[in-house]
Amino acid sequence: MTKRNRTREILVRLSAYLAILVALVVTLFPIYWIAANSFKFDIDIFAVPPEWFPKNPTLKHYRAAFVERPFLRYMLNSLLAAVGTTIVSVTFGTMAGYALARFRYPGQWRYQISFWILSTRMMPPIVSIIPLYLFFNFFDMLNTKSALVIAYTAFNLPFATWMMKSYFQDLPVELEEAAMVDGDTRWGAFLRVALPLARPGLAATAIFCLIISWNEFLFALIITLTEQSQTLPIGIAGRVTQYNTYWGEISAAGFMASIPIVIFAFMVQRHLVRGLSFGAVKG
Amino acid sequence: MAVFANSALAAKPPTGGRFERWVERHLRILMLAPAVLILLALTIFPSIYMFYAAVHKISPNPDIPWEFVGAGNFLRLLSDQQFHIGLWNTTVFTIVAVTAEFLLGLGLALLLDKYLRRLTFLKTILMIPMMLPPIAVAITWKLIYEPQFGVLNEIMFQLGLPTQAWAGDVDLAMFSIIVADVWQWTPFMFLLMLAGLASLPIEPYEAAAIDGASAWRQFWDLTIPFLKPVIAIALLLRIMDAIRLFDLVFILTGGGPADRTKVLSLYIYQVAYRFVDPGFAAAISLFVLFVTVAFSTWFIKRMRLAN
Amino acid sequence: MASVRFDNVTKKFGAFVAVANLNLEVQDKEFLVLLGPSGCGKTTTMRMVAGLEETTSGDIYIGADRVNDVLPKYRDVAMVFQSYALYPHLSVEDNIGYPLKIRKIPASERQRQVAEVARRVELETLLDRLPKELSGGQRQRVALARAIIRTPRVFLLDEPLSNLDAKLRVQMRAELKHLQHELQVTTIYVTHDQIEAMTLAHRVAVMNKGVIEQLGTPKEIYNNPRTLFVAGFIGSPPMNLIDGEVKNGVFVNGALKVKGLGRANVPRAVLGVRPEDVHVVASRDYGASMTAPIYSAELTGESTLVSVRAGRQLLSMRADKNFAGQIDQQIGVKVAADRAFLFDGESQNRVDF
Repeated sequence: MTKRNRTREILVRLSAYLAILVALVVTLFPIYWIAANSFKFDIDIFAVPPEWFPKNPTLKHYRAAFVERPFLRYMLNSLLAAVGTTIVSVTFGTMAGYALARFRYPGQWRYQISFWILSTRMMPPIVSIIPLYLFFNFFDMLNTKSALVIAYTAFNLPFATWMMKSYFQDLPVELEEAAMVDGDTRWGAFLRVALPLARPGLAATAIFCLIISWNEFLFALIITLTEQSQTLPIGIAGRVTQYNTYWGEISAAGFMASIPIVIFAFMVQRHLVRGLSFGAVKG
Repeated sequence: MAVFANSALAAKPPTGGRFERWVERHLRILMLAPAVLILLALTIFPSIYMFYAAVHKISPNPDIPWEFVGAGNFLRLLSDQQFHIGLWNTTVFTIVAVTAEFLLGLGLALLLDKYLRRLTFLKTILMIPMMLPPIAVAITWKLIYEPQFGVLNEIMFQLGLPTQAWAGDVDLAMFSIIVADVWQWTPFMFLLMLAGLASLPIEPYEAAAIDGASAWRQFWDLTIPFLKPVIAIALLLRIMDAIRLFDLVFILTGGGPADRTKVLSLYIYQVAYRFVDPGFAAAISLFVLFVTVAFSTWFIKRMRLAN
Repeated sequence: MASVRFDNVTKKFGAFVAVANLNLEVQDKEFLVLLGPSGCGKTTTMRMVAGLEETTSGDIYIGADRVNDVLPKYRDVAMVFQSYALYPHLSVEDNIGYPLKIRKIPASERQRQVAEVARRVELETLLDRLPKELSGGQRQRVALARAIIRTPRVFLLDEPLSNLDAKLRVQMRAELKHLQHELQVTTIYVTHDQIEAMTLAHRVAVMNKGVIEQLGTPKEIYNNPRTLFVAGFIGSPPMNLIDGEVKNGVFVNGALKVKGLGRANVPRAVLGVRPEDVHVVASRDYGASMTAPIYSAELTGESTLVSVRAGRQLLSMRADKNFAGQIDQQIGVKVAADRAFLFDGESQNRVDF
């Protein structure tokens, strides 16, 4: 009886490990594969059967993408749009998040406003893209990075607001009240007490905004037209044409686009669950 | 009352400037206003504008004035076959992909929580796909699905199975999109479920064990009810995301073959920018907006997720 | 140094009335305790003095100044929070010096004052520590030091001892009392612990449901409760409050008969009598108020708490620590009528006799 249980226990355990191992392989292989292909000559990319490990590594595609073609420029555009969006979203999101976490509003207003802000984030981007397009067209802002920042703010600001709201709600309100009694204003207590204490959350929120903006595709596809403002994802998509797909180049660019994101992701690991759930799950 | 006389003699303490007092009194509005105004401008304005656009026929030629067509564009929703295909594809994709992600994510989370709880670096590795730029995910899977030299067909060949066109195959295209999406977004479910599992209280399980409940019973009677709020949030967010699916389809299939992967987002994009019919695109957008807002509101109220 | 005056102060949160029409004057240099159960409005009352809550109506004066519209920073009050509210990112020294820093007092002067205050509360060796590296008692001292560093017009203490363990609480209680005496600063102290109230206060204001039920010295409150609520709230073990009927100065509840209550007539009465004013007598004693079997007998150390059933309630009495009665043994019970109180069950107020 005990022995049978023991054997069963071991079998269950082994199959659990096996399942997790499979998950790891499935997770990592595609990432490895894009990286490996970015270092292969074209002929090796097309090899059948596939060359599992680049025998003849080259930086040719990195050269092609970042020297001969304007991928460096795309990257810079992505970076500027992401940083601009992050500054705007985090600044106003932090203030709004603080207000919603701390202040009383008449009736159900606090709940209603919080909910409305969340609902703007729930709006599918394709829905707001048409009016925004017409709007940018009207003000001659198409193909500018400012237009990207404005569009990205539409979904990063609600995110930042909810994240910061959840971080501020975690701070004991007495700290700010003590500061006020000790001689500070509410605004001063926010700046000098709440904000320094929420710094880890603030950093995480900012990094999330950077990631979200960096990864964005649809708005950039519609708003940008030339390398003047096109972002990295658009640059990559541009090398997937009807006639030819520049595999090496897009692999190199795709891999380069992923590296900063993965680094950022490691930096915000502890906040990941909260970030993914808009602060709803503390993780 | 000597006390009173005393304090009346003392110099009146400062009470601050009027500006300071005004700021403090209105701080709850001043701090909230910028975000609210920005979001109003970025959402209400487009919504109204879109409604305006939706009741007009808009010509690609900017010199031709908009022609009022009333409910015309909305009536077209009833007859437009492509729209029905898009609606169907989006629905299928959302249900299948989110269900698969949820089940896989929950399963993995249960395994990791039970057997490898201390190996947190596993969690870190498993989360990577969801952070990647969707464009990178799309080209990666495009490379894997490649019919001639793709890895997937090599694996099929090695297993002695027939090779396929995958994303280019009428019957497998949607499946291929779903697999790529599941690859990217299962980690999302996994992480949220793992967080939910980590926060479970121990006592009810001990009580249940003493009461003689089997592991299976404990899972259904304790784990699932405890996880319910997290599950609800995860499902809601994933469903909202799945409805807006665009990047993967745009790169992997372009909506083909034979419209098998033409999802609503892609169709709106095509109507607006390829067929240059922003009025009709606005009508479809409003439909999507209505459905998502109605669904999410219902879901949030139903699950009592507010706050 | 100042008095604090509440003039018809009302505070509502939505439809909920937290404080109703409060009139109270705290004398200069007085130690006033606001005592009551949670949700009675005592903390709200204190927070209105600090300016952390606005009044819905009515006026608050500190000294001669009406402070309704004065920001907290200008009210010149200091507050110790229940959770101490120490700034976790600042060292003990910076925590204590924070009020001075905000007032832009130069660093050297600040350091000197912090050192002096730290010595007073025996923290001088801990100035470099962060709050999380301190024990509960030490945190409490930091919070106190931060409050006393600038000799405010009023001290506000919000359940400052409730997070300490029992032994430390007794010690800090004594220190607090001494400190207030030394500093001679008007102090408002909020607590739900009646022993703290009795030991610390010059005067106690017992609050219930947003109103002050009784205001008086601890002795008055204990010896002369004006309402049923105050009678039940003050005293440990609590006063017996037995329902019954009073006719011609005789209280009756089943077997329990208490004579000598003047000529009072109350159809729905509550008899209040402290356990120390109920005595165990021989079961055949003619003077006994009732004869009943012992329900329980608990030795508390200095005495034995004996209880018997009186109708559906329990009547407890303090007996000698050597009391040897067993459960179910018949005893006589004598209520000292001259030490008992009568309350009207309808109005909850004292009925004099």
